[in-house]
Amino acid sequence: MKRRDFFRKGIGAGIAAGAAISIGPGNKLFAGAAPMLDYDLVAVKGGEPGTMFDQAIQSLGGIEKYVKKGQRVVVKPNLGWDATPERAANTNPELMARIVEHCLAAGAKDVYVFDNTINEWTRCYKNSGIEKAVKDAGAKVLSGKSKGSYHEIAVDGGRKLKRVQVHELILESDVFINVPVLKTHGGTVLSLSMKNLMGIVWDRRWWHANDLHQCIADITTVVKPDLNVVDAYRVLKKNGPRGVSTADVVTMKSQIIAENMVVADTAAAKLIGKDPAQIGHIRMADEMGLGSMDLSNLKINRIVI
Amino acid sequence: MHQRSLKTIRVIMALLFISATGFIFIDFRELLPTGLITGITFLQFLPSLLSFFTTFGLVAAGFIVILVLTILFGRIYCSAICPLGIFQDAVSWIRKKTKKKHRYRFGKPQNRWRYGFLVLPLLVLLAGKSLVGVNLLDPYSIFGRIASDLFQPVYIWLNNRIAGVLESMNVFFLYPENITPARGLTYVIPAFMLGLVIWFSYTRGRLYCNTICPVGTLLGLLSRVAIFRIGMIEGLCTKCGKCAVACKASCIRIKSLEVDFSRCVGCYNCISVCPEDAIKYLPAAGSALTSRRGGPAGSVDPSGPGDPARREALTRMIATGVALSGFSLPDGSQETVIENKVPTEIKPVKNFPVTPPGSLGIRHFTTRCTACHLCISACPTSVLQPSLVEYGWSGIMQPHMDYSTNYCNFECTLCTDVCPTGAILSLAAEAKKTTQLGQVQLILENCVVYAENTACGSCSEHCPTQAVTMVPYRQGLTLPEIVPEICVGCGACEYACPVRPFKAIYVDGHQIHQVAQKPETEELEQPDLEEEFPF
Repeated sequence: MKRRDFFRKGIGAGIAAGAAISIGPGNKLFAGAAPMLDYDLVAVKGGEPGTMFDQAIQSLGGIEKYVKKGQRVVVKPNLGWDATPERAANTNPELMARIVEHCLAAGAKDVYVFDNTINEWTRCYKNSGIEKAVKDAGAKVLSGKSKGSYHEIAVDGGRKLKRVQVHELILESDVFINVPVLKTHGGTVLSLSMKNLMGIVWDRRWWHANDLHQCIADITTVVKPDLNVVDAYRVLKKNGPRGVSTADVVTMKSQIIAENMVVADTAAAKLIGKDPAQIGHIRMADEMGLGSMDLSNLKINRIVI
Repeated sequence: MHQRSLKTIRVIMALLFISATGFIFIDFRELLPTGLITGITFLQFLPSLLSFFTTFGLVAAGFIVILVLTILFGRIYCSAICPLGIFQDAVSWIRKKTKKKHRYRFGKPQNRWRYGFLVLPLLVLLAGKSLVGVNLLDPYSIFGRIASDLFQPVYIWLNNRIAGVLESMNVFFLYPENITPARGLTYVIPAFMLGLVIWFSYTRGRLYCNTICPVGTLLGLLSRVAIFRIGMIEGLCTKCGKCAVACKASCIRIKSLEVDFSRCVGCYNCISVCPEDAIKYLPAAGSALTSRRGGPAGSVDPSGPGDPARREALTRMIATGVALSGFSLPDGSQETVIENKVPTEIKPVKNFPVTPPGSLGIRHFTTRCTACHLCISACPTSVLQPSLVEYGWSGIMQPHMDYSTNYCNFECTLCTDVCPTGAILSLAAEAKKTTQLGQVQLILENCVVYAENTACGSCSEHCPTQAVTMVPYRQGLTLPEIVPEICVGCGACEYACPVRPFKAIYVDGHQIHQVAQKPETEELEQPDLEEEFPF
């Protein structure tokens, strides 16, 4: 059954959510040198974007834990802006390419990359370096600007958001890997995993006029990535989410990986020195039981390269 | 060279020019480099003329090439280069293919109409300093508007259909593009002109070019004194009439063996059909030439050396030159306020429309833009839209920056690189980033954060210079604050603002573009990579 069929048939958010993560835990078929624990969160620091991902995903049991042979995978970066990689407004292209390589090596049938960009999309794809990097790695790159590719689904658990138009790639693919970049955001303080989902929906302007934080929290009740990789190699510390120049960027050489978005976003917020409880959508998602801001009971793997 | 091959050469040139010119107006994938686009429009008469008077540069000397060609061989422009002329030939060709018995025949010159349509726009230009008359009649610009406003959406639609089929086969070579419809009324003029030229060319060949087109009439005046003209050779001609039947310009009069060369569009169909080789290019001084310098027999213009028609022609040419050079001198003193809307408490007050980057200001732009819509075709965001009354009626169809449709991409300079008239002058990427088209205005009462205590930040998020920043407000919320000095007027904030019906933030255009200050930057402290994870 395709993801879209789930949503179309109106099966409750809980079931859809369960299905989305059912591929995940408890699947230990692979062999690897690293000790394999069921980590809830992996944090890496000190390496290049690709290297950090290699080590982090290995400690989680390899991408094979998430991507099975013949599956269709969508890897969704934050690709909102017509800006070079140095500006850190978009996800790191090297990281994107590495994730695509891992997926294809694991036997994925197709790996798709797209974003509903904010600036004119062909320029975003080109100047971010992501289009070339992922195409070279073997991914298929699609425009996120066709209204016809977005299909309305119900958000049963939503408090503000009741219906939303989601891109068919998210609904139809077997695996969804969410790859935001950690950055500041004028409206929502930070832009992280949950905020990155604004790039898979069509009618996001409505969100801005109707309690943005709540809408972001609401969509996480129905759309749950199988894996979230928060790129914190270069970080837009000021003037986010777009930034004005490279003067707004600091180099943190870090990466956060988690299956749960609230967990990933909490860790990423702490990494940049913000209190996650002060960020509306993280707090709301926590309150709605979508994940916990309390990292103290989680199994965390901290890797320093 | 046998002159019969002239038609073949003309047809090849025409196909090259119309496909290249047509393509730059329908392409949305930016497949051609801007240098090539400039090359394609180089020979277009009116844009080149306007551009020449703006830049005084040889890069804009295409119209001189056309003038020289015309003085040598007549209106070569009209059949080989002018896209509207070639388009009409295509319509006539289709008619010929569908209706076998199609015959053209000699028609009298419509002098009142054609000189009227030449003088009237120039009077409007001199009296009102407005290009509107010229714009509405210039054949290149008419073709541009038809191709950009009507053909490009069809082309994109076709592309999307094919892209859809390919996508279903998991092939992503083509991509779908959104069709951004303009306001309905802006289609009226191009649609009317399309209908008119199709009707004219379907029924009467090049009637449009010889009664309405001011470029055709102007070049026709020059053709009268051309060095080589098409004429009929008295001894050879059997008066079979094949040439007159083939003449789309209806300018061959068999009875008196005359060719009204002022109306000849240089299609060379006559040369190619003549079984006797009795009609061809002949030097004007040749004794066998029967093509008359004045109008054809039957017209009121007497002919002969020093005839009034010729004098009239020269006078008009000089007048045109003076008019154009006079109007080319920029001076801001006669600036009139375009639009003054009554201010309301929450309705944005826009004093001036926004002109594209590189256009220097409203006056420079509106006195040079022929509204060919090449910039509209090229604009990747569709923020450039045809105007109706934004510049007043005299600026109808000239593009304006429409921030309800989209906003100007900060890094993009495409429109400045393709404009063939000098209305939008080329801007380097860095210069564009400090060109202030207008300034940001904030109506805090309209802002959703202020009014409803909910997070937004859409304006600041979109702002490339942070001329609108989010400052701490209450309950962890942030409120927009504007820094107009660093605003470039790109309209991203206005476009992104989610409130309706009136936006909380908008750009009011500048009459004359200003230089924006560069945003201040401060060095950030780089984080210590040795530090422990904070969790």
